[in-house]
Amino acid sequence: MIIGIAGTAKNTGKTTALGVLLREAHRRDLHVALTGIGYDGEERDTVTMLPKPRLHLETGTLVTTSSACLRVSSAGLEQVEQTPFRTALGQVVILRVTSPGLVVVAGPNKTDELRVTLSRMQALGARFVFVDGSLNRIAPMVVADRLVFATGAARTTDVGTLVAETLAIERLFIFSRAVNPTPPAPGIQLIGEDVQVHLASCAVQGEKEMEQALRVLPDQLWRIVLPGMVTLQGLKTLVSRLSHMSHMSQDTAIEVIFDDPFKLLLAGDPASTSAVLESMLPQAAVITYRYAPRLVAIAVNPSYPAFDGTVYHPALLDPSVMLQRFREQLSTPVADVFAPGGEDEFCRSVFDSPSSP
Amino acid sequence: MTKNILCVPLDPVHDVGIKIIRNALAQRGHRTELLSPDLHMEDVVRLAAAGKYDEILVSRTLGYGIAELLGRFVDLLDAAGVRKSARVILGGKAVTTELAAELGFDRGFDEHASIDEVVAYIEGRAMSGETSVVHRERPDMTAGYTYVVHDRHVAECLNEIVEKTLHWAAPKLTPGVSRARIRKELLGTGEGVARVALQRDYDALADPVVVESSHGKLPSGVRTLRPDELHFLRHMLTTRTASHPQTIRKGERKPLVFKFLGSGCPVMDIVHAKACERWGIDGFLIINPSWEARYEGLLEGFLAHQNDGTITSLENIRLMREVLDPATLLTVRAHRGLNTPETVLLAGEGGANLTKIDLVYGSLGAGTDPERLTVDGIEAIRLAARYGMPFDIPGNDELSGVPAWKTLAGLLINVALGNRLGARAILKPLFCYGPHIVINGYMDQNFVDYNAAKIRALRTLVNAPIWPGEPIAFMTQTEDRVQSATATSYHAALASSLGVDAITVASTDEAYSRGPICLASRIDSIQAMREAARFMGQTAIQPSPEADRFTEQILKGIRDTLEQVRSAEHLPAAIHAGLLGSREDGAYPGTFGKGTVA
Repeated sequence: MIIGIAGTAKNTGKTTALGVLLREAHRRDLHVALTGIGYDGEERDTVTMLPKPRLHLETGTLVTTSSACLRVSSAGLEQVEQTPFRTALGQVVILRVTSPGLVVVAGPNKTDELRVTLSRMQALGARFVFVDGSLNRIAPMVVADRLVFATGAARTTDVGTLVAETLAIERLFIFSRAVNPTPPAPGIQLIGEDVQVHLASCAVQGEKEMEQALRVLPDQLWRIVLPGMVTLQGLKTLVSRLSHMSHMSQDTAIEVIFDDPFKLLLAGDPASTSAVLESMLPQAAVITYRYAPRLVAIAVNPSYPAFDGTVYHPALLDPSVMLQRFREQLSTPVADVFAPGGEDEFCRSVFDSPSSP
Repeated sequence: MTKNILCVPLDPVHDVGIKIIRNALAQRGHRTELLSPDLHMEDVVRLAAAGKYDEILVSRTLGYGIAELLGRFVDLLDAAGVRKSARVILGGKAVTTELAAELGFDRGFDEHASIDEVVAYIEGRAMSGETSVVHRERPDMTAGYTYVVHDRHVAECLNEIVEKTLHWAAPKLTPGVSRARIRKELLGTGEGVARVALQRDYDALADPVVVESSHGKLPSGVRTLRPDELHFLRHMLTTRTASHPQTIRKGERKPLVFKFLGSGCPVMDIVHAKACERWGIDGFLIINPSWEARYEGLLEGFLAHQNDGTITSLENIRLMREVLDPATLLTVRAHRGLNTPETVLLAGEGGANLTKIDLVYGSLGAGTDPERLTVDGIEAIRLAARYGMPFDIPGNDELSGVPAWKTLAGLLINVALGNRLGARAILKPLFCYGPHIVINGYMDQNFVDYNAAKIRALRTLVNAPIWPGEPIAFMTQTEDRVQSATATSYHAALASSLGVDAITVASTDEAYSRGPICLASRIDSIQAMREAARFMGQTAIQPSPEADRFTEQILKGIRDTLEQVRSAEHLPAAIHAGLLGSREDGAYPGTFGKGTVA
C-alpha cells in the first residue's frame, strides 16, 4: 500500500500529518517505509524561518533519501540498497533505521524512478510506504494507492476560498477508473464503433491539439483517450465540442479517459478545471481515469505564518469553525490532527478505509 | 558525447547567464536551442517534449512565488514524460542545492557557480552532486618553510641572543609559569582532595579578583552565559561546516585571510565568525580584554564581558572551536600581560590551531615587565611546541613609533627562540602607516614601497612564513566605510602580489565603532578584497625602485639592531636599554608583573 501525502502549499501541515501517520504505524506495529519527492525535514522553514517539524523515525523503518542528507540526520541508519538514481543532493539510497531519530528525507523525485524505488521498498518488506510530497509537486503522486491532501490557513486565510479549492480537488478525484481502458498510445485516440483514430504523439493536449483531433470524428464515437497533460484551454475546447455533439443526437454518452487526476490538477487552478468539467453535460460524456488513487483524507491546519512586514510569526484561525466549514462541504474525511480526537480520526481514515471505493 | 540541450529563460529580464552558458556549450560542440523568455510554461513543456533533449537548462532569479512556479514547471515536465529522458537543471540567483532538490530539479547552480562547473556537469565530468562550494581544508601555514637564517652574521647574533636569554631565564620562575603548570595538573585531576589542594595552590598565585570569581563573584561587567544562550546558539548552528563558503582569493591558495574576534561575547563572536566563514574568511584571532592582562590568574567558565575583548577561558575557546568549521584556523592571543603560558596552555587544550606570542612587543607596546614576559614567553613557546601550535609574532610595537627595523629585529629574535624550543613562528610585520614612517616621509609617495621593503628584508634574512597584520592598512583607514574597505583591499592586493602567507583584516568600522563592530562592516572589507583579487587576477603590484633602497635601509637597521642586542646581557636588558625601541621612539618597557620573577 502506497500512501501519498500532498500539500496545497508550504506550511499547510503535510509533514505534521505524515509524522502522525508514522507514529500510528509504529503503534500498530506495521512494517512502514518512507520516501519523499522533495527535500523536507529541515528544522526551520527556509522562507519564513519558523520552526518546522522534522520526521522522527523508529527502529526498523525503511527510508529512502539522498547521500547528502545522511550527515544531518540523527537517527542510526544502515544502508540496505543503493539505487541507480541521483537527486541534487546525491546518490539515492535505501536505508533501515537502527536507532530512532530524525531523518531528512530526499528520495527520487521523478515518477519513473520513484516507482522503481517504491517497488524495491515493498520487496524489502514494507507494507505501508509513505511518499512525502513537495512544494507544488503533485505529478509523482500518481504512484500512490491512497492520497492525503494537507491544506490550511498557510494556503489562504480566507476559509471560504480554501474550502472551495479543496472541494474542487475532491471533485477531480471522484471520477472512477476506466473499467476496460484502451491500451496506452502516445497521442489522442478517438474510438468509434469500428474505427480507432490515433493522432500523432503529443505530451501536452491544448486547444490546438484538441481541435485537430476532433476535426474528423469516427462514426459512433464512444471513447476519447487523452494521454499526458491537458491544458485548461484544451479542456474547454473538448467540453464545447462534446456539448455540440450531444445536440447532434449522439445516442450514448462518450467516455473520456484521462491518465489520472493529477494531469487535470496540472491544467490550472483546481476550481477552474473542476468548473469546466462540471459544465459538461452528463448526457454528453462520462469521465474516467486510466489510473486514480483514492483520496482518503484531508488534513486541515488552522495555523499559518503571518507576516508583519518585518518577520513572520505563528498565527491561528479558529480551528473548530474551520473544521466545521470543511465538513459541511466535503465528503472526504477531514481532520485537524491537533483537535481533540483529530489524530485518531485522521489515522482511521488513512489506514482503515477500504482498499477500493 | 554531443548533447541536445534546451535553454529555457523563465525569467523575462535576467537571461544573461543562460546565454553565456549556452555559448560555452555551443563552443564545445553541443546542440543548443535558446527559447524566447516570453513563452507560456505549457508551450515550453510542449517544445521540450517534442525535441528529445538530453538536458533542459532553466534560468530564473528567485523571488516571491517563484519556487511554486518552478515546482509546477518540473511537474509539467514530469507529467509530459520529458523527465524520462532529460535532466532538468536550475540556475539563478539564490538557488541552493536544497531548493533544487525540493523542487525536483536534478541539479541547482547559484550565481557563484562557474561556467566550467555547469559544462562539466552536463558533460558528466563532475557527477558529485554536491554544491558549487569551495572545498575547505585546514591549511598549515608553516608547511614547507625551513626556518633557515640565510644571513650568517644575523644567524650568529640571533644564536647568541637566544643562548644568553635562555641561560638567564633557565633558573627563574614566575607566578605565570607556576600557574600554567598547576592548571595543567588541575585539568587532569578529578574532584577530590588533590584537586582542592591544587586549586588552593593556584589561588595563592592569583589576584583576589580571580580567586573571588571561582567562588561565584565575577568582576564587574562579566557574566556567565545562560544555558539557554548556549542552547539557542547550538540550535541555530545546525551544521559546523561553513555554509556555501566563497573564496576571497582568485585562484591562489595564499594569502589566508584572518579576522579578529573580541566583541566580549563569545556568542556574538561566533555569529560573526559563522557569517565570515561563509564569506571566505580562513581564520580568526580571539582578542582578550586588556584588563585580563593585568591580573594574575584567569577566569573560568562560559563568560561574556560587556566591553572590548573576549575572555579566553578554556570553555570559551572550546566553544568556539566546537562550532567553527574544522577547516577554519583559530588563534588565541597570549602574549599580553601576566597569563601568557597559561593562555597558551588553554589554547592548546581548547583545540586552537595557533597562538600569538611576542616577547618584545608584549614588553614594549603592551605593558608587561620585560623580565616577566621573557620568562613567561619562553615557557609559552615551549607549550606551543608541545601542542603543535605555531605562534605568530605581531610587530605592533611599530605603532608606538618604533622604527620598522627594530620591530623586525624583535620578530627575528622570537623566531630564533621558537627554532631553539621546537616551535614554529610566523612573522607578522605591519602593513601600516606608522608614526616613524609618517615622521620620516617613507610613504609620502605611496603605501607600496615601504611595506614591500619589509617583506623583502625579512625574506632576505630567513625562510619563514609571513603574515602581515595586524590589521593590514593600520592607520590608513578612516571612519568612511568605503575608504576603509578600499584601503584594506589595496593592502590585500599588495599582500597577494608579494606572495605572503596570510593577512589580518579589519572591519570597516573597527577603529571607529565606539563599541562592538557590526557584521555588515566585516563583510564590507571582505567584499572589497574579493573585488581587488578579481581585478588583479594573476597580475601583481610592482613596487618602484625606491623599495630597493628601503629594503637596504631596513636590512642594515636589522643587522645593526641585532648586533647591539647581542652585546646586551640578555633580551630583557636589551629591551630596558631601548635597543629594540626606545623612549625617544615612543616605546616604554612595561611594568605589569615587575618584581615577580624569582
